[in-house]
Amino acid sequence: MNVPLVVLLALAFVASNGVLIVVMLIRLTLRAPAEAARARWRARYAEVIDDLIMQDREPSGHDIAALIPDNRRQRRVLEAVLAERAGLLRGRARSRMTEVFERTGIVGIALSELVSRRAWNRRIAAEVLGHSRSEQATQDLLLSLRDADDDVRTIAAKALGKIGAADALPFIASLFRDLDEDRCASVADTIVSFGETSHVPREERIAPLVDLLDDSSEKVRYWATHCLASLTRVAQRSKAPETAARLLARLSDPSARVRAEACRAIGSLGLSADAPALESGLADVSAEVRRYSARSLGAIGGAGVLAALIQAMGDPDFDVSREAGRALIALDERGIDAVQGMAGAATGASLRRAMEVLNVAGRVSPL
Amino acid sequence: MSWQDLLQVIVIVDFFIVHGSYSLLTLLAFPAVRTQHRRAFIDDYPHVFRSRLAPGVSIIVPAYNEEATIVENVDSLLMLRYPQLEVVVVIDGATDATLDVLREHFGLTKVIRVLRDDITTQRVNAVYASERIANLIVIDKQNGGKADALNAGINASNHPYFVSVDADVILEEDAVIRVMTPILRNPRLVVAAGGILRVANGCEVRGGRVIRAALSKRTLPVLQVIEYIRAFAAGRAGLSVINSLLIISGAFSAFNTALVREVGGYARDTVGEDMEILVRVRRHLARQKRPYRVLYLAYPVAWTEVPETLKALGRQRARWHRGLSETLWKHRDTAFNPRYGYMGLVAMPFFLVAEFLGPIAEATGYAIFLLLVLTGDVNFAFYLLFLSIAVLWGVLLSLSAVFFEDVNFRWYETWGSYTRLVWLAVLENFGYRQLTVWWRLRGLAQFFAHRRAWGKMERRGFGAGARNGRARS
Repeated sequence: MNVPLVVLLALAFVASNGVLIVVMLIRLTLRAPAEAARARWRARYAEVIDDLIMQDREPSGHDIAALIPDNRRQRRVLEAVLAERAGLLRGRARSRMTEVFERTGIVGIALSELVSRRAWNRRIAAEVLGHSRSEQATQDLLLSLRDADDDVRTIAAKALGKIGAADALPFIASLFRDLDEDRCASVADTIVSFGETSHVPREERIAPLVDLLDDSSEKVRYWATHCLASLTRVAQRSKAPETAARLLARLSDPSARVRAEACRAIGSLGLSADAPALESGLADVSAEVRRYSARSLGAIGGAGVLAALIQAMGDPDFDVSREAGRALIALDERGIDAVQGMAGAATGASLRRAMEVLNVAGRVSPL
Repeated sequence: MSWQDLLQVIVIVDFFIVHGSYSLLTLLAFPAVRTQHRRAFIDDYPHVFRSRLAPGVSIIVPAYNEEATIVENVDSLLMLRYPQLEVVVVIDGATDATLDVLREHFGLTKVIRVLRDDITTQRVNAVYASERIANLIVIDKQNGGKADALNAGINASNHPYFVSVDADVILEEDAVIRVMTPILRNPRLVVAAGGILRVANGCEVRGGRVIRAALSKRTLPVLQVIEYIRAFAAGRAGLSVINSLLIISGAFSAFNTALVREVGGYARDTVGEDMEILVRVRRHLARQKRPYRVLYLAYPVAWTEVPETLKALGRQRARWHRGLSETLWKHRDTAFNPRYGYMGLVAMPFFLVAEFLGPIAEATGYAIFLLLVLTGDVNFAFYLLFLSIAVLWGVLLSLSAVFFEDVNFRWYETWGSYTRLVWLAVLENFGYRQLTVWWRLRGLAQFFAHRRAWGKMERRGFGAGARNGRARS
């Protein structure tokens, strides 16, 4: 090995280490005052905001003046303090946080950054607007649903969900068409938790999803049924037949995951008329479909489902068998009696499952 | 060229490959971790916590003779923030009162539960549940080792994902949310994720949480702090960027449950079960041509107590190297095999050269030097320069890792802590580094001798009071 080259290398490493140590020392020296300043701003902002919350009062001009940030760093601290509280509050207290977001200029700046050339800035802006829950941002966020950046569209949808802009729902649901599966998961989450604070009725969330059930894309149908399975409830019975009819049609969907989610959604609706269709789901080739059929039959109930569920307890798939057992427990005494009735003649896996059900129901104890 | 010259060339080439690779990984890691750090705002963790679509997670805790700490640890796990969480404690044939203290504290009663038998394990004696805490399951089984206990936990798991956690590890409150967030974002692609493991020795621990991060007053744990920062913050983060992670710490890692069942669970014939399972999952997916990602996350923090004596540390390092060797040997057919993509062409060769052969090359270098000194053939100028480069390059990697830590996370609040880390990053090259080489060679020897015992780990325990030493299965 060439000695001068080795010397050069050694010197290069000495220099690199030296530079790194000096940079670290400078950082350590400067960090303390910067962090102290951040902590000071944080304490100052938190004091004013917490006072508003605790006193349950409107922010005065004096409060707002104390909060208006002088620079970008202060603004980031204020955004974080407000976002933390906004995430925890409900009702009037949260509205006040929105007012603070708006009157301190944070919303205005975020709106202007929503059209920034840098995608990163647009993402942050959309996130901030979501935290603000400011209705002033609705139109701009709607436009952002057509942003070239997938993340911006996803975050804008989430922000609209937090604001509770019901009009945006059909546009958000249509994102299932052009976003990848992973971002669809985020959009689905947005729709399911849409406007929880502003009480957007479930019916309004369901309608645009029902419209997507016959879409030609398997991905769109899946995410629509997936959301419906979390949104449909017994409370929607008055409007259920129409939704149920569309969901029942999906039980013969070529995609197993769509069929499975359709089973789950039908179970959530809880219409006993749908039980025969779900019973046929217990014979599906997909274990996932059989599992959700069993669960939904437990939710729907009715004397007719007992035999089907008892039989499903012997399903070779562990999850289907377990779900059938749980469904029988959900059926209460009738289900437990039926299990007790079959336990005497059962063997192997069915017997073990029956004993588990009876143990959960408190009818047998382990040795 | 004489055989000494040939060996020298091999040692020097290996040195440049190893240090060059680590430097490259550090360069890759820095922007990736920085982005992760910045993304924290967008990821909106509180939102994940409230999500109704977040899939359930089972926390599996293998426990063997953990009576002193198990209650506190399970309590802290039950308080973790996540929408659907169950805690599965697997008592692996404990000989102390681990089960009794759990029964008493949580009001456990024996229940009948049908457990899966997808993965064969030692016999389960009983399953316990609590009427007060619905999401706690305790499995009492015959001793079969950590891998067997994890498999029993997977059999008992009711959720699509599981997080394996060592019984002596302290998790940050949001650790599960954070480790699950990238999985939720990419459920079809991300099959496993692991977070950074930090050293708890010296930290202030209260109520099962680390209240204040600080360095231990003793030198040995601080040297390990530097190693952990270097290994996690730079090494693993860099490997994650190029999808070449072969290990995520068994002390805190999240996996897709169905996938682990599909590959037959953790292997019981190795002491490096955490690395082996990941390699097996990866090769399984590669064979099926399924796209996947294994992620390292810079933030989800688990704190662990590291050995404070050279004896215990030596045993631990030997075991780690034995586990690494066993895994590399078992899956040797994947190395340099394009069928396995990044794993075959990047990860396996890197681990083979840098991790497996690293200590052999370094020890050979020291041996040649001594031999040449004895025979009087040594070129002192050259060797001193080479040694300086080796030390300075090592110091640079360590300092970069510490710098990394300071820029992104700033766990340690005082000037003194960072100054101490910088000093020890230099000093570790004189003595400590050579010791780790020796321990790894011992691990290698044990691998060749097929030793499989876990060895003893003397733990002082967290919090104010030091506890009795415990043995691990």
